[in-house]
Amino acid sequence: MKHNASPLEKYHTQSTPNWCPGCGNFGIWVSLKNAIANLQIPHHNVVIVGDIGCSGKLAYWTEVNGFATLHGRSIPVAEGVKMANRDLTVIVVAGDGGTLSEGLQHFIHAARRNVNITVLMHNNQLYGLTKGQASSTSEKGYKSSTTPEGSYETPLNPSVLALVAQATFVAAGFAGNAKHLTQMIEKAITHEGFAYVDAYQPCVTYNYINTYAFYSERTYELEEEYDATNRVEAIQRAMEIDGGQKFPIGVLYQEQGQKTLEDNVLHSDKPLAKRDVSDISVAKLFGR
Amino acid sequence: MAKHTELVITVGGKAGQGVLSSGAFIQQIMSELGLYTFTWTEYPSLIKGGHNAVMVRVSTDSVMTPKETTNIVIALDQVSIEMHWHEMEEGGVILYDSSTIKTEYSHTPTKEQPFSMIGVPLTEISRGIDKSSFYTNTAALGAMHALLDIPTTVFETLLDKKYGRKSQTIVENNVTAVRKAFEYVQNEYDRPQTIPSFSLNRESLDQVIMNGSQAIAYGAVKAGVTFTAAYPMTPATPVFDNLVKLAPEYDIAAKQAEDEISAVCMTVGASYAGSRAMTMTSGGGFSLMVEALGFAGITETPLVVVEAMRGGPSTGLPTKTEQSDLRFIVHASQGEFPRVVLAPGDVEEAYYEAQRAFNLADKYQLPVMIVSDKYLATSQMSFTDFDLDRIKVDRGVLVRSASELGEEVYHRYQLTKDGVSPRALPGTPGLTYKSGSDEHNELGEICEDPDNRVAQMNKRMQKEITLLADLPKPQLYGSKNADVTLISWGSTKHACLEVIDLMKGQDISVNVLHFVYVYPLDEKQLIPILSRLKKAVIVENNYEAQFAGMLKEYVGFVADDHLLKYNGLPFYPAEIVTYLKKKFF
Ligand SMILES: Cc1ncc(C[n+]2csc(CCOP(=O)(O)OP(=O)(O)O)c2C)c(N)n1
Ligand code: SF4
Repeated sequence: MKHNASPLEKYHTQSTPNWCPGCGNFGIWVSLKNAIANLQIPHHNVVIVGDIGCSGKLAYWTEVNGFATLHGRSIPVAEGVKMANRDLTVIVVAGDGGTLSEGLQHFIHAARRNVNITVLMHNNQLYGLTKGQASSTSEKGYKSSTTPEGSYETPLNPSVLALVAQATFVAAGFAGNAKHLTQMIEKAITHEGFAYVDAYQPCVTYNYINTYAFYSERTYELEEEYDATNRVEAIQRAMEIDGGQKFPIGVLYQEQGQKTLEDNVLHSDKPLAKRDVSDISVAKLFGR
Repeated sequence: MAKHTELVITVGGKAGQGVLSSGAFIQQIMSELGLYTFTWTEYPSLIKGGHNAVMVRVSTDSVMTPKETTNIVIALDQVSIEMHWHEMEEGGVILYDSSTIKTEYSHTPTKEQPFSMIGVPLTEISRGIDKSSFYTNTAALGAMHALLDIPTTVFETLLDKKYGRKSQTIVENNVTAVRKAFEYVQNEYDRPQTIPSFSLNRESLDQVIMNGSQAIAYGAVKAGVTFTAAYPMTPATPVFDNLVKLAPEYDIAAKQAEDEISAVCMTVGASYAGSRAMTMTSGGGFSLMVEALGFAGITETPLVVVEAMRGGPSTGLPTKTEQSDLRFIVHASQGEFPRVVLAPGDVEEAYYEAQRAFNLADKYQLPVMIVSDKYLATSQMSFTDFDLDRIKVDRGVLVRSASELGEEVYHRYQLTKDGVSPRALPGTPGLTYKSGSDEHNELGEICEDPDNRVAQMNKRMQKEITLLADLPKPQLYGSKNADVTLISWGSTKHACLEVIDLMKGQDISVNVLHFVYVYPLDEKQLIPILSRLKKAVIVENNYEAQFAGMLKEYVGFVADDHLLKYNGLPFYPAEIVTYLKKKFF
């Protein structure tokens, strides 16, 4: 997949992605850039907070602000960024390894505190950067250097996790369907609160099970009548993927009007980062 | 000069019996009476049921250390008598609640028990008021007034100040308890003349009484901290608690995180976005924060971390003091990156150094660790002159808009002579940039080129050299050419300082060289200072003589000896004196 389709030129950095040719990350990258462009958010107000993994490197390759963090720690870093400056659009880009293994606690707590960030999880069902080891979402039987007999642990269902952790926005998309995924990301970014997007991402180098063909055959768009305001129904729908045959894509759940972390933790509208702190009086604290 | 008089009062009881608030009251009363105080608390890590003790040292002169011995023990339970028996000074008094404690000890001093036992039916007095035992500890303080031969008026005013807004009945009941216990002691006992009495015509002192945790928090507020995140861990929590309390008024975001990893990462994120940000923890939590230190290091994000040490390793001694994390803090995280480690020695230093920590972090874009410990974190110290505005905020070189740049593209990690690259915050109009934990080029893009690597490494490490000019020197206290110099760092400061006075008129003279800035150590600055010392003894609350080792390694200075303590307690000046006499006489 070529990445330099012309309208997106302005999002390119001097260095270009070094993903394997055909990697699903390209489709997600294009969708993300499209979404930011469609929403017309000024570049300088966007921060992509990258995890460590093939996916997270996207933070280096997109012409908005990019902050590449630590493996598993992109979410708390992003929360800090957002609390310090709520005017910024903060998007986490992370793999399933970073999100659901190394940093699972952050994922769950970010969801329940409803921090207004988007978590875009590139779900390739393995650890790409470290050469294909099984991850929390690998299918049973997935063979890798560390699971030579095949993975025997039951995969986690990230959308269900997010829903149970009280996320106020949960959507799924597929790297091979950039048009749809772009919409999902746009909706996630504009959602006021914690937004999780599960992006199915074929890893052409290591994942011989969850290929483009696999997902092309099994993903289907949620029907028009689907009620995305019912958490229980959303959980049921999200659980369909556990059978390994049906993968609904679309907005599984959205709840509006909930207070965000920033609403709760900030005491004024002025971003903390923009406050003049040069002359604060503490005389009162010293009884003066 | 007026005569030096001092006295130690210890209050002991079960957690929940009001021991800590009694300590605070004693301190306030004495301060109103124009006396200096120092309060040291001992508490187990249990919330209820364990033994709590607070020791208030009261003096006509400034005091900053606890003593091994005590003149008055106020025992609210039986255990307190046993716990503090061996600490009693000759001629002292154990004042106990005779309604709940039955003792066979003699009221008047004996050979085996060279102090008095004074029983006051504290619980009964309280019950007599409203059937509760709520006023037991106020009654105890009333009895204490009789022992010290001071009127209860000051205490009564303080009680009114504390409870008056809540309920006048509570004030009245407390005052009744105070007076009843006071009268009881006056009627039943002769005041032991061995208890020092203070002249009462002193002017009340304009004192600042606070502990190190408050001082760090207030310093941070003064420095403009706008973000803090933490996960509770003794003895670091009080710094966070203080900030949480002040958050609405000072517009601070204070977030309890799901763990220390999250706390430090949120803090780095907030700082990256432009907030002055700080996190705080003890050794265990700091262990979890380690990876993020290097992240702040390579991304050149300002970061302030308070590490309040306790006895280690592992869970160790959760509520005891120790200085054993120094080496760990200095070396924590993989790879090499510049950092600053500073260790305030008292409340005043804590307030100023917290502010300097923020300035250094911003100016040099690196992690700064403020090293505290249980002793500094929880000891209440009193100070009379504080210059609240001494330290000015310095946020370092910031690019405020794209037009300020002399070039088309912003180079976040521009190579400069002093190693500091102008910093832009995300959200700066017309400007975007990359920053990341991978080695990068000047633009912030991933780059593994060997020459670039060396250039960026050198640039970062240069900051640790450049900043040396900003670090205050260790301070020498006492005479210039003493026979023995005690070297203190962090909270061992005052135990050493007091020794100067205690050794006056002895065969050897003592002075103190106190270090606040413990890393990096500037060889050029320190050699002239250290090489002049006749005999040097490093005093540290740890087993491995960690700072002595650092002076050896970084400055090539080998001290003549070190005095170490790692039993969970701070140094007492008297034990340093004993050591000096044994070693040098
Ligand atoms: C603390 C830590 N542990 C392990 C690693 C090594 N590591 C780097 S990326 C990665 C997993 C990547 O998998 P994932 O997060 O799913 O991202 P992907 O590469 O598949 O996009 C691991 C284990 C690391 N960088 N840091
Ligand atoms: S290893 Fe897999 S996930 Fe990583 S770049 Fe290659 S194809 Fe993509």
